[in-house]
Formats: sequence, structure tokens, C-alpha cells
Amino acid sequence: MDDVLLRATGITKRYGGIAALRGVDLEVRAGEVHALMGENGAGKSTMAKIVAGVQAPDEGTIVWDGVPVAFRDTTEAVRAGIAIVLQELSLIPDLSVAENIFLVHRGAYRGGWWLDRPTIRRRTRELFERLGWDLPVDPDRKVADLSVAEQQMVEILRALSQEARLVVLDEPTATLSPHEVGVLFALIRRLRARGTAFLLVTHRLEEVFSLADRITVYRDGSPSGSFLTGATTEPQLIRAMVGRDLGDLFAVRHRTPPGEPVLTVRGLCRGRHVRDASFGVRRGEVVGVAGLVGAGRTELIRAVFGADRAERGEVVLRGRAGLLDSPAAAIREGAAMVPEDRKAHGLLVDLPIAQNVALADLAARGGFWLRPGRELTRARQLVADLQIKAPRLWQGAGSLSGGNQQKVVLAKWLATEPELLILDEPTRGIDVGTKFELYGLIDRLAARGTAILLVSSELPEILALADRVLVMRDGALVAELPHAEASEEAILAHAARAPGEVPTAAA
Amino acid sequence: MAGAPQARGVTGPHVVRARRTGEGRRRFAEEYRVEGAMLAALVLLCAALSVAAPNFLSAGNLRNVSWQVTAIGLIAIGQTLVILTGGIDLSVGGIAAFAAMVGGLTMTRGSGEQVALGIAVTLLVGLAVGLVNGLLVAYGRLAAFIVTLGMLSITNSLTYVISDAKSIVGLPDAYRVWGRGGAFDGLPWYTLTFVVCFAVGHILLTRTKPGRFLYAIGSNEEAARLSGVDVRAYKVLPYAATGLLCAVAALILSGRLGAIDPDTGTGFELDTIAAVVIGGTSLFGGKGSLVGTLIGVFLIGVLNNGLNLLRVNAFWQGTAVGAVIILSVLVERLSRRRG
Repeated sequence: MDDVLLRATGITKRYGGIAALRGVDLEVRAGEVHALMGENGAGKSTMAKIVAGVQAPDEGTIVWDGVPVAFRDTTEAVRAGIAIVLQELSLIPDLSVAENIFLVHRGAYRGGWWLDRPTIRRRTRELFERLGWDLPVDPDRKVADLSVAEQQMVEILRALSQEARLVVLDEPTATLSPHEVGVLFALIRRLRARGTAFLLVTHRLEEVFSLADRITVYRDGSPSGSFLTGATTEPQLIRAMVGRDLGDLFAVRHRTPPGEPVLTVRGLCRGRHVRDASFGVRRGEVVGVAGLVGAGRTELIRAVFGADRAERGEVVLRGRAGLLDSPAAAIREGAAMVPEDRKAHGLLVDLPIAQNVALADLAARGGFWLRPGRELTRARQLVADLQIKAPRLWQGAGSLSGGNQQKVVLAKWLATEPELLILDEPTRGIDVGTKFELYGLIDRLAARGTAILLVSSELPEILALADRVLVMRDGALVAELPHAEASEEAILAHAARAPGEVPTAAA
Repeated sequence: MAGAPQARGVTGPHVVRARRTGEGRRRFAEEYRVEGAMLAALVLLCAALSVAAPNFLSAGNLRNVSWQVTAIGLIAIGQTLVILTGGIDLSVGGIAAFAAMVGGLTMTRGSGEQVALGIAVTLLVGLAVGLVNGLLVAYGRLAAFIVTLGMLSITNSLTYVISDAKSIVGLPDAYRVWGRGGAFDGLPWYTLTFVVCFAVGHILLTRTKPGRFLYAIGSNEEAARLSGVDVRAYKVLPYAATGLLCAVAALILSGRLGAIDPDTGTGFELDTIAAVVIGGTSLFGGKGSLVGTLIGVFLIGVLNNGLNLLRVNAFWQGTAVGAVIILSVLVERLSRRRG
């Protein structure tokens, strides 16, 4: 009882008329990693934000360290010892690592006004050492020059530099490679041993089992289970999250023998990220692309799709051969690409759902006049097919939860009836139930003859879906493994091996 | 939440129809929420003025108001398109004066009255300068703010260079028809022009592919490009349209005044941006409508007219308009928070 650090009781939060949380409780003890799980829209992120003072609850009380608190903003929470690392990074790109970490520290300013660079540089190095940080990041480097993974770690460092006793992590590993996840988890374990508590919001079951001490599961804004990790199994957790059994997540392969080639790439080059790549995808085939963060997977498919201009090489799509200079050209030849960063590159958040769904087809084939009736019918049909939870099709797409947003992006491409579907991290940040639906969908599309190029950092996903796995390292395709020979070990061996170097985050 | 039973049971034609009309009404209410609030403000203002200033509702005064909103209204149509894509056009006043001056000099320099040539040159110059703006923004990937600020300075300066800072007076009657002639009894050509341009713009935005793409570009340019939208080509369109509309507004203004003044258009950029913002269009792009801009134009016009009628010192007009700009944004913010 006495080691309870934070106790939230009867928390209710409404957005408009909809309750995101309905009278839920949460208890975090000192020195534990407490996982908060649930599907998209279950309320776990809302709870995390309330704990850290990002949002205020409509009802309920929070007792922190024995004292009732009502944080008006994150600054108050930070002062009390609760820091949050959000999914959206909140670093200032043009400032250095050290400047970002100590931006709001009083000690960083001499006389309260003048930035004391030598001091913050020294204190950043001390922080690295104290935490046993093993990513060699120079405190003077600009944050904009870091990889997304490194930026995320800087955010966590900033939280720790503020003497946080409870660190709230919202989907911290969504953008990290397996190696980086390992580094991050090692750090969390070390800090836990010194008494720092973590509230970890995540979708990933394997993370929870490797890291968390206790697990709280929400479903539709209400608590649906509370578990001790040691005494819990995966199916139990899934049932608590989804409300039913999903069966084997990865038993979804119904393939037909692949047909003629849809995409052939020969000698494609773009800077140091894509070096002399040659491969092909055939009708009805799922080709996976694996590799560490920074290996050039996204750069490769963007060059194939014409999103970035390649320097050399050839892309054969349908009958057309040559380099593509715009996505529009690729789309005309039957290609489609679901980008890695949904909000920045996929979704038009201000536009209604129906208009999002119609956009690519309109650009490729539409005439001068819009046809709103047909648009709405088509959108309604795809929304039903993909089971998108969108009560009103004319509502802004930004109002949907992450998983449903991703489905809207997919619907946009399915409306063009593509022959080649390129998917870049299609299930990032998406809950397990929706993930399962997407796997089924990818499988059905392949069975119907769509050629699919799947980039993913989640090896189980690639192993389950891909007929062939291409492994990328430092911009080059270094291995091609047929389904039967692909395994996590085999992929990682190719992905991480670098001559004369220990495997590190190649960013 | 995934897989939970949802609105799968919506079948049967009667259910669908009931949903559709209810949905349509709610959709309309939501889409035009901001515009509705500003329209209410406009109606209130008109009601108050009709009580406070008895001659407000007289035919003469209403014609006066419709004249006062025409030039700004025309250019605000283009400005709305530009702002919807996330851009801004600060050069509108400069383009208006420059286009009118080049056209006027062409017309008066030659022998005889080449009115058609003068009007054609004015329109072409407006369109051309707008095109340059658009090409620099879209293909040169320069910030619209910088490009059009530079263009404002260039056009202002060139206008003085070619005119030697003198007005062109004694314009031919044929040239002045657009500014003071009438199509039918009491319906001036300039009002008709405004109505037609507004209708074309509104239809373009709400019913056509280019209009949809302007919203898409303003909402998320990169996502639009990756969806196959030819972003660069569509980004040129609003600047070119704005340039052309500036020329039209300048022709109407100089026709009415009977002179082409190098200072025509001073402050147009702020007036048009004010109208667009009051009408609820987001300066970040992607959200807004021409209906809102129309209301914004009239709100400013009626406000200025009302202050005139009430014999308030004209220097106060800027304060009133500024207060309305800030209030409109504040109201929008508050209503959003509650909704």
C-alpha cells in the first residue's frame, strides 16, 4: 500500500458527447513498469495524458505521492515529478540535443537569462554516463539531424533529466528497430532498479511480457482486466482487449501461385540509401522488405513509387519502363502506396472521410466535375468492407482513431483498384484487433491477384505474410529468403551484419 | 473496439433515406457553422443600423454598399483560393495598380481611343503577374509570403516608373462603362461581374476537381502529392486567378473614378485577407469557403458604411474592422472548444 506512487480513482473524460473514459481507476507503484493496454480508442492514451497533466479529467481524483493533485498543465506535472513522452515528438529540431534537454531547466541559464552552453553540454554528457547510455550521440548535434529513434531517446532523456519519478511513455517503440528497442528497454530496466516508475502505453504484447510488472487493460473506456505479468498469458490479454479470442494471429495465408511480374526493378539508385536495387513482385505475391531502421527501406519504395526521384536504374510497371518522376505516373500504371507516416503523408485530416477515400481515384481518373453521389456510395461501401468505424462520412478524417485513419488511407488506394500495393509499416501504432483485420485484408488482396510489397519492422508480420523476404542493409538488398527459409534469426543475421562493426542502429 | 457490432444493420431503403436527409442537414450545419455565426453577426449589424441610421436601408445607400464591396470582394475571391492552398497573396494591390496603368498607357499612347486594347492589356498584365507569382511559389518552391511581398514592391515601383507618379485622366467613356454603366435598370455592370465571378468561384470550389484539389493541397500538400495530385500545377491556378481578378477590380475602380491612379489598390492585401479570415477560412489552408468570404466582405463593407452614416470619424474604421477580425477568430475558437 505505502509504495503506491500514483492513484487515480473514478476518472471520466468526455470528448463532445462521447466518453473516452468512464470512471476508471489506475494505480502505479514506485519502481514498477506498469503497462496500459487496449485497442485504439480504448482510452489508454487519454488516461496517460490525464496522468501527465496534458488533459484534465472531467471527473475523478488523482493522488500523487499521498497528496491529491489537479495538474493544470504538463509543467505542473513535471514539477511534481511526472514526465510524459508523447507519440508526437515535441523536440525543437533546430536546437541541439543538449539545448533540447535543458530548455526549461533553470540551471541551464546563468542569471536566469543567459544560456550556459558549457554547463548544459557537460550535464548532458553526465546524464549519458549516469544512465549508461550507449548510443554515441554528440550533445551538440542538432536534433533535426538525428534519426526518429534517436530523437525519441532524447525525449526520454529529457524526461529523466527533470528528475521524473514517473515517466509516461506513449507507444515509445512504434518507430524503433529491434536493436533500438533493446537499448531502450535496457535503459528502462536500469532506471526501474533505481526506483523510477514507468507507465507504458503500448499495443505490443511481446514488449509487455518482456518488460512490464503489471498490466491494466481498458476496453471502450472501461477497465476490462488487471494482471500480474508473471501470471498471465497472451490469449488472456487479447481477450481482455478485444473481448473475444482472435485465434492464431498469423495463421492467415491463402495464396495462389504467383502470376506474371507486376513490378520489376533493375539497378535502382538514389543517394546512399538505395544502392543498385533489383527485385520484382508478381501477381498474387506478397514480398516483404526487412531491415534495420535507416537501412533504406522507405527510401527504396519511395523511389519505386516516384515519390522521390531516383538517379539511375529502371522501374517496369505494367508496360511502362523507366524512372518515375511523380507518384501520379506510378498511380496511372496501377501502383498505390500506403506511406509510413500516416498523418504527415497519408491522411488529409481536414477533409471529410469520403473525400479522403475518393482522392487518389479522382486524381488518376476523375473528370472535371465532381460526382458526390458516386463518391459517397463508393466510400460507404469501402467503409463497410474495411469495417472502418466512421459514423459520419463527411466528418474530418482527423477525428478518427489511429487504426481507422490507417484504414481510410487503405480505402483511398483500394478505390483505385491497384495492381501493385506498396505498404510501408502498415500496422504501426495500431491495436491488435485492427492489425489482425489488416493481415486478413492483405491476404485476401493477394489471393485476388494484387501484388504486394510490404515494408515492416515487425518481423513476425513479415514472416506471416510474405512469400519472399528481401533484406536491406545500408541501402543495398543483401538477401532474398523464400517463405520456407525465412526466420527472425536469418533475417536479423543479414540485416545487422556489417563488416568490422557490431550491429548498431544504422541511422 | 474492432469487430464490435456496429451500424451494420442499416438496411432497407426507408432507413437509408431517413438517414440521408438527417445526415444532409447535420452536415450542412456543421460545414457552414462558422459562416452561420458570421451571417448572424451581419444580420444583427444590419438590423441595428437600420434602426440607428434611418437612411441605411434606402436604395441609394444599398447601392453605395454594393459599390464599396465590389473591388475588395472580387479580389477576395482570388485571395480565398490562395489562402485555401495554404498560401497568401500580398501583391494584390500592386498588381491592380500596375495592370491598370500599363493598360491605360497602352490605350492613351496610340492614336485614337483603343479601349478594347487597353482593357485586354490590363487583364493580360494582371493574369501574367499572377502567373509569375504562382510559378515561383509552385515550381520555385518559394514561400508565398516572400514571393508576393517582393511582387508588391516590384509592381508598386514599376507603376510609378511608367506613370511618373501621375494619374491618367480623361478616360474614354467606353472604358468607363464597366465602372459606372448598368446592364439593366439599376443593376450595374460591376455588381453583375462580382456575382458572376463569385458564382464561378463557388462552383469551382465545391463542384469540380480543381476545387477539391485546392482543399487537399491546403490540408496536406505532401499527402495530396503522394495521392497522385499534380500539386504544382494546381498551386499556380489560384495566384493566376487572383492576378486576373485584380485587373478586373482595377478596371472597375478606374472606370468609376474616371482616372487611373498609381495609388489604386493601396491596402487591398490587408482588406482582402481580413475578409477571408472573418469568413472563417483558415490561414493554414484546407478549411474555409467562398460563402464565408462573401459574408466577411459584406461585414466589413456594412460596418464601414454604418460608421459613415452615423458620422463617426473615418479614422475609426480601421479600429472597428480590426476588432471584428479578432472577435471573429475568437468566436470561432470558443465555439470549437465547446463543440
